[in-house]
Amino acid sequence: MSTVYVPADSAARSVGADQVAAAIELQAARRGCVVDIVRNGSREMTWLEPLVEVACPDGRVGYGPVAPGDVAGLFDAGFLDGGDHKLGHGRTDQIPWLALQNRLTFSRVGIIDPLSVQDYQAHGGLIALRRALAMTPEQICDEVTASGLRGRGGAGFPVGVKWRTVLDAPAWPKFVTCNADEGDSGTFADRMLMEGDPFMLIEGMVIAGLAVGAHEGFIYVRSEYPDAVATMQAAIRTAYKTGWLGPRVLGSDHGFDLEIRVGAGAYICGEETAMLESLEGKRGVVRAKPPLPAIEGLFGKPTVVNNVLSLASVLVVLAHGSDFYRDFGVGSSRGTQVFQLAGNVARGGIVETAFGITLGQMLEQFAGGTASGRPIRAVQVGGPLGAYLPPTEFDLPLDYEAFAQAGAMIGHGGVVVFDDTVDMAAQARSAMEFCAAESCGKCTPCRVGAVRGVEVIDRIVAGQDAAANVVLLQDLCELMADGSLCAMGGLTPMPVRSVLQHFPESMDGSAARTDQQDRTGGARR
Amino acid sequence: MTLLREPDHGTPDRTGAVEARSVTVEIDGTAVTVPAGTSVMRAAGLAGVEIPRLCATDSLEPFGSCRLRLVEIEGRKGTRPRARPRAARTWLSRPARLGCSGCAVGWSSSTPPITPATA
Amino acid sequence: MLSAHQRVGRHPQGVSLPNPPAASSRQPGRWAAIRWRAGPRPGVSSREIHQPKRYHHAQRRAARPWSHEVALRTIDAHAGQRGPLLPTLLALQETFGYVDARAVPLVAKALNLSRADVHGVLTFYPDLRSTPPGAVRVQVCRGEACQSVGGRALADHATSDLRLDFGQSAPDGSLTLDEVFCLGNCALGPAVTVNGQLHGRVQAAQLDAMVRDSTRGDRA
Repeated sequence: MSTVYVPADSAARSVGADQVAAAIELQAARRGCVVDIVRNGSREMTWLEPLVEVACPDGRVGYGPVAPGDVAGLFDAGFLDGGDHKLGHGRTDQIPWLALQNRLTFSRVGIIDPLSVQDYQAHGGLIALRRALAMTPEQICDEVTASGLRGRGGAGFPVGVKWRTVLDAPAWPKFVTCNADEGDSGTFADRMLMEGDPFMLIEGMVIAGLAVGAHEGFIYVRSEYPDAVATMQAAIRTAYKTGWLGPRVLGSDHGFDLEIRVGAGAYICGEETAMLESLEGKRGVVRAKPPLPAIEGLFGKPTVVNNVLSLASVLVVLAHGSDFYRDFGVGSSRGTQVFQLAGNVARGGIVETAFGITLGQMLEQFAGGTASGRPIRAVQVGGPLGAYLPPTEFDLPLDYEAFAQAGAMIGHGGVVVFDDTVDMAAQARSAMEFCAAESCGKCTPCRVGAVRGVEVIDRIVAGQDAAANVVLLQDLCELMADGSLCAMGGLTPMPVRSVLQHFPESMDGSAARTDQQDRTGGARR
Repeated sequence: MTLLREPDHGTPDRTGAVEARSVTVEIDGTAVTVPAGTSVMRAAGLAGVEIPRLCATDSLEPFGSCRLRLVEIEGRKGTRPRARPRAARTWLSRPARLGCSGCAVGWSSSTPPITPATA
Repeated sequence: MLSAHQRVGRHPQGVSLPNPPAASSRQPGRWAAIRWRAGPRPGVSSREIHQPKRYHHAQRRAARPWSHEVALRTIDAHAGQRGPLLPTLLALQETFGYVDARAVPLVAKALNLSRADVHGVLTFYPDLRSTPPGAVRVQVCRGEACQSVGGRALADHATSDLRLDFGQSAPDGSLTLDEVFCLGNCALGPAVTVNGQLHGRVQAAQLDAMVRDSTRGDRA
């Protein structure tokens, strides 16, 4: 019997993985081959999806991108034995794109059957939890602090310090929440992790509960990820059956209950206090801080709010020790960061690497330029509220401080590539439009400022008094950045300012004058 | 009919809060001693400096939606004050188009007295 | 140079995994010894999640007509949760396709909230609908990653071709068009969902075909 892996990750399914799996089943039945199809997570090389892998004596051999019509040819070429085919890539783990990475948090995604408890444990699962059960809460917090792990959602706050604050807070009960509302365009790491290795997140939540004395956890997943929701719910049901959740975790005295909560389409619920409001059953409106959620969070109780990647990294820290994790990276950015290459990119997917690599190296070694083949005009890092960077900025090292100093941000690690057909003024307008659409509406700079921002940019693009309106736009940006209640309004000016700084020719009103230019062909402004 | 005008200092009184320490603050030359955790706005009100606001009242916890009052702290970036400010300046953002900011700030004791200036 | 435990696929502690059976020994009897890829396993298998059961996929199921009793049962099922309002409204939407106005006072009463509170939550979240959706629901992604590969043109094509603005339904109830800011398929854009099924690398012609097939299939 042969084992064939066809990803069930939603990205793979979006380009036909289900049809490929069905075609393989059909061909196998016709040819009398006994084939066991495992629907694994994605290997996160999206340009090769659907990537079909076959288990061979010395490793898995990959073929991709496979269309249903290619399946017969694959069988003919003997792909079940790893035979040569033009879609073949040899041993998957030796593909340079993968081999160059340091996949610590993504080590199991794509390898295992996501919902198999045997696979999970065979690949290092539960080591961290078993170790945590033998430690005191203070010891767990100290270990995580010593590793230098910083939150991976975008704020970069030290995880161990946050946990310690919750542990020391006197109120009861305490809660652990995971912010899986990965709303930033260009980011999909949380989704792939939840779909490909759901037990990892469950284990991370239980450890967080141990560290702070919490017995209830919520994972807030956005509704736009139905496959991730379904996978996590199935994993939680399994975890309860195997005793990883419930009144006695792994037979210990510590109990932990975990629940999935689905969002309802509001981007702002990715902001931690808005997420807490949403969990409480209210509108996702941002709260003023202080008080911090660590002291008064969900239902006014001490609450841990962590990103999916942060909790996944905790497992690495506890399984290997804080020194191991700290030794990756540079400066005060430790461990690995998970970058997502997206947009108009030739080779997209997940790149997990230690900090210190430059943006240019990332684009060259991994992204391989644009999908369209045209030159790269701009790259937006950190989601829709991140700065647009031109090629002159590509030698910035990918770490928090360097990007902050350059007026940009790493955020959740999304890297969106644009070719030279991009209309930068339209992108700036898009940032303001997005803010206006997704604003919670509480504070004036964001609610009103974003709408006015769209209007001002429209006037600039139409050539009406462009110079004066650019001054007005800069003033508006300063106000939104300084005055907004949360990072939504506070960071919307970042992409706009970056366009004004790096692509000033797009915002000088000349687009209106050259309106009649051929739009189907050459480079846009 | 007489109208009893009760002063509204913007944010609640923190006497009796867990941290029972006091902080002495100098606002526009007037010194005032307040419990730790009191906001700049309330301290200013107690010192006789009335700071305009739209969404704050001392019978409610700080809400932070009008963004009319912003506090800039020397030595820290941004205008969201945290604990232990060294020195603070308050400024009123331009009233014309937009403009609001967080009203409430708390700081813990054992800091040097702060000297905010009015807008 | 990656050390042994950093290489993908190996146990982090450096213990190597048992290799899959060699080609010549692929006999059913050997399978019991291979723990790396075992046979029936406890819990749920990957095949089950191959067809996710919830949310957007539920819309292809015919929504139930309004029923006071079913609504009360749905509300009751979630009343014991912490912060039950949002899960309750989502459950009502999953059952009936939208949150009927008649449900609002029932929810308010059961959860001891004012109708204004319930109305506020219902109108805040884009997913929650107060009117029935079309039989086919199309979402077009307008996120930056999709914009970089022609998402804007696709969105314009959708609105002009279907003669609907985002958030609108066709007058005959056959179709609802929505915009969404990111579906998480950012390296395979432009992305679109049709009745909850995610599609990547969608071009205008493909979108037209999908809409045509879905609406035709519904009328059949």
